[in-house]
Amino acid sequence: MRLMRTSEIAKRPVVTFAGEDVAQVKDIVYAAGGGQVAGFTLAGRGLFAGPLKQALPWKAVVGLGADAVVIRDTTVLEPTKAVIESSRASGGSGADVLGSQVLTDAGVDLGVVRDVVVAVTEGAGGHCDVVGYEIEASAALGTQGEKVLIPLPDTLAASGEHLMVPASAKDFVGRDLAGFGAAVDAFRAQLGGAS
Amino acid sequence: MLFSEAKNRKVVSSSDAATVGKVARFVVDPALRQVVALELRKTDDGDLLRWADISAFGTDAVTVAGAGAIGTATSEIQELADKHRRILGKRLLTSAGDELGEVADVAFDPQTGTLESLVLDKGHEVSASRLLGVGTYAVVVRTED
Amino acid sequence: MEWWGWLIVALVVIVLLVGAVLAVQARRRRGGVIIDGSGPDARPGKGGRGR
Repeated sequence: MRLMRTSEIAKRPVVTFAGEDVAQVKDIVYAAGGGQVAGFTLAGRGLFAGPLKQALPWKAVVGLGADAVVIRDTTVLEPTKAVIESSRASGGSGADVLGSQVLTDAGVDLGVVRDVVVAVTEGAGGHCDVVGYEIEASAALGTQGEKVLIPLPDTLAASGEHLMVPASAKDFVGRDLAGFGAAVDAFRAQLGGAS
Repeated sequence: MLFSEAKNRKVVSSSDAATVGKVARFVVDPALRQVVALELRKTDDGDLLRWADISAFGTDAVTVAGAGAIGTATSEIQELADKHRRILGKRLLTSAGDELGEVADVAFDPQTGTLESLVLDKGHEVSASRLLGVGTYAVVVRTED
Repeated sequence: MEWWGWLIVALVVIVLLVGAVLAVQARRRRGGVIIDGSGPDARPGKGGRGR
């Protein structure tokens, strides 16, 4: 299992088995309940390219690695609307978590989301789940302005503006990805698997 | 035999012992994992020699029955020979999405033209049985597991 | 203005237009991390998705 920041995944090329880079990753889309990554919206690869009308559902991803997202061929892509199930009438996508405030269920502001941490398991049928946020810490964490990692439980309550986490999350704050996997496991164990 | 060793080898006609050209490049079909043609230079008759028309690929020369074996490409071979689909110098990507390096050389069986392995710039070798495709962006191979 | 004056103006305009298109497209390629909001705990997002 690898931990990755979504900021590293954005703009990564999407490459087919035939060796063609057919797109690059635009948005990472995930489900609020459970944190599973549903897929990626796509953009074209040239200087003049814009967003594509097709998106990549997670089940079609053969591999998500350090340098590319690999797919069998372009027939696995689906219309963007199908991957982001709810789209606003204006044509925009769902709420973007980046820049949102994180609140504990006790009403304490922990900071602003600057990046998202996902856990990717290898192999066919692998999973990709959001397990934490990298936030710019508020005064409440005692490290105002620093970037820290906070773990998330299996289920998340999310709106575009406030992301709710259990108050105990602040006891499992991490500084780098290396030890963060363990912090996520410890935090979830402490929650006792409650959703 | 390696592509790097076989490059520049003379192509000789066995009917009159004349040199009809030199090996410039190898055209590979990734689906078959085979060399399907040689691109030649310094020929009078065109620049492609299909593997099937080669009599033997020896350590000092490649023999063909006659210069007539050399010709211009069929459209399939032309597509495979396209300069954007050349295997040498191309990044190597696994199906897990990780780059292993660039393809510096290719080992092949001179009797059959079958690819044996891809040699990377860092010296690692990847078995050609893992080859999934060669495109404009990368050479894609199955991950090891 | 001489003819070459207009040529320079035209070139500058072209460069600015191309620059603008490149900037707009780069912005459109930029992505975020989107909650698709179809899970059990989702709430209406900012800007109101009206659910």
